[in-house]
Amino acid sequence: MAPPPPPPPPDLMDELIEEFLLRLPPDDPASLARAALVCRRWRRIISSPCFRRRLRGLHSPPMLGFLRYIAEATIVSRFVPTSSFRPPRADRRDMQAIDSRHGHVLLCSDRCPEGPWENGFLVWDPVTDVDQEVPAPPRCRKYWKWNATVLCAAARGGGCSHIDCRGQPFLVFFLCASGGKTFACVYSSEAGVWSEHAYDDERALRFTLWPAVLMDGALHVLSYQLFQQDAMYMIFKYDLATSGMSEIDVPDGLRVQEIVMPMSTEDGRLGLTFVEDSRLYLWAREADSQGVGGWAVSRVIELELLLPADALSESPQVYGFAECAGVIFLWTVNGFYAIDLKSDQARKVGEYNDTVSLVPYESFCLPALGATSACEGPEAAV
Amino acid sequence: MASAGSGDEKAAAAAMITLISSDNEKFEVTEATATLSQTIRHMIEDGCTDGGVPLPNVTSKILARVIEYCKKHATAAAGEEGSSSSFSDAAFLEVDRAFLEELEEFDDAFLEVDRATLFDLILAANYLDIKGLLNLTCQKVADSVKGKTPEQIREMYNIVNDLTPEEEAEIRRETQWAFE
Repeated sequence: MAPPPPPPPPDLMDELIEEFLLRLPPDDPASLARAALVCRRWRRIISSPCFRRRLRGLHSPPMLGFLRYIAEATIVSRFVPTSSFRPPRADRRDMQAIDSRHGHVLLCSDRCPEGPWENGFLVWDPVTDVDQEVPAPPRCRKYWKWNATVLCAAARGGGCSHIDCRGQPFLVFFLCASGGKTFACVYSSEAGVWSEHAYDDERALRFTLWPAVLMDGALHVLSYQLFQQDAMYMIFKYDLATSGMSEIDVPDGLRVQEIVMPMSTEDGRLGLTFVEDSRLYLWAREADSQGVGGWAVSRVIELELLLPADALSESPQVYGFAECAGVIFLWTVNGFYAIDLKSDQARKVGEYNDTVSLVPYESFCLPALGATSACEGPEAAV
Repeated sequence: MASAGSGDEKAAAAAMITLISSDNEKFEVTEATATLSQTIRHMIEDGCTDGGVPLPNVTSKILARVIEYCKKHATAAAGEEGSSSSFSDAAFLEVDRAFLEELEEFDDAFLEVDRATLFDLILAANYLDIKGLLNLTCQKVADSVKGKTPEQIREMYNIVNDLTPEEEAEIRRETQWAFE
């Protein structure tokens, strides 16, 4: 005789269904999308603003993938998934991914390194596949060294802790310097125009294209200053609220010849990272009791312990940083590796010999579920 | 407030509480075990546990499992408190690690139950406000749903699909990549 079927599970209240749906891993958005298709009740719970708010409280935005910029016979920025998410469109032809933040990807629609002079930028949401055009910034000439950043408009007031700002207004910051002046141009998607601030600056300042570190209401852009014989790194700090500019020195002895990437440390400090002698160095900015800042090595990771020997036959280079995940991407002669700073593990992500630059994409990906998508957005501070 | 000083701790640990299930079965547990439940902790603080604590929402079968969980984890909590003062001592850390591993093994074995029991445990953990147990059981359900098709999930949890074909098509259209 067949055993009797198990009794059906008891009915759970909505709040308890919500409890277990919240524990689906956010880097597996496909599971959440499929759960929304189980029945009306589950769909209603997943699409409720309360569920979305709690999910963001429980998890940090997952790394859904990264964009690698390939400049060979075809110029393309290609979305490489590191989660179960697949973008409707993975390839962006004739585009370089410059930066990504708050669910947006900033694409430069001209061929780099020339810049956005003619066609400006596109701000792309890989989840919804919505493009928004940004005209060319007003004050720049070809071949100027520049940096550009995309962020949610709510970040300017320091009120962007929700991190996922899908469908909300955005800002693009464009920095460039030439002829004794530094220009900071800000594009607001709400106003649809650029505003411009010019600063007299006798130094010959150059910006790197590393994504800026957004911290304490300011953008921190790795820059360098040209002297007659030499060049020196410095960090250019741009306050979002006041448009004030200041600069932060880098650790003594750091040479421009070295590939150095700006980052933020796990405990929320400004950091720099680079590879030297098969070691990955992490520096962190600290302030003493008088508020005077200095630098200290916060971590040294022995790459020999993490990477196969053949990957170290040439010195690896830092290539990208995923802030929420705490992952540094390294180029090696043996392909690209993701170094997880939380678990001290290395994972090979691919060969990708043709990759010029790499921009991680970190965002929540919740099924929009029709009309409820309007609920997505910055929540009022609690 | 019954915040026992260090001198009273032994006395508090020895105090027994009677829990009464919905089918009128009585369970004698230590206060340390019972107070993993915030609901019972508040009742003890309010001094309303004389004559036993009736739990009309929890059957004896489920209550026995919940007590098993609380006993194990109350011991773990007591162990943590005891070792915190000698945190620098490597031998203690080693003991801690072994204990945590044992606790994880216990949790894994504890969750080897049928789905009806798992849901009953969620309801009990919620009613008794035992955060660790609620987290553990909900994570188990989440893990069981992960990677499954909607059809498989419905079958597992005996759920009737009441979405109209149009609604289904709409969700599938929006998240097509999740079904490929």
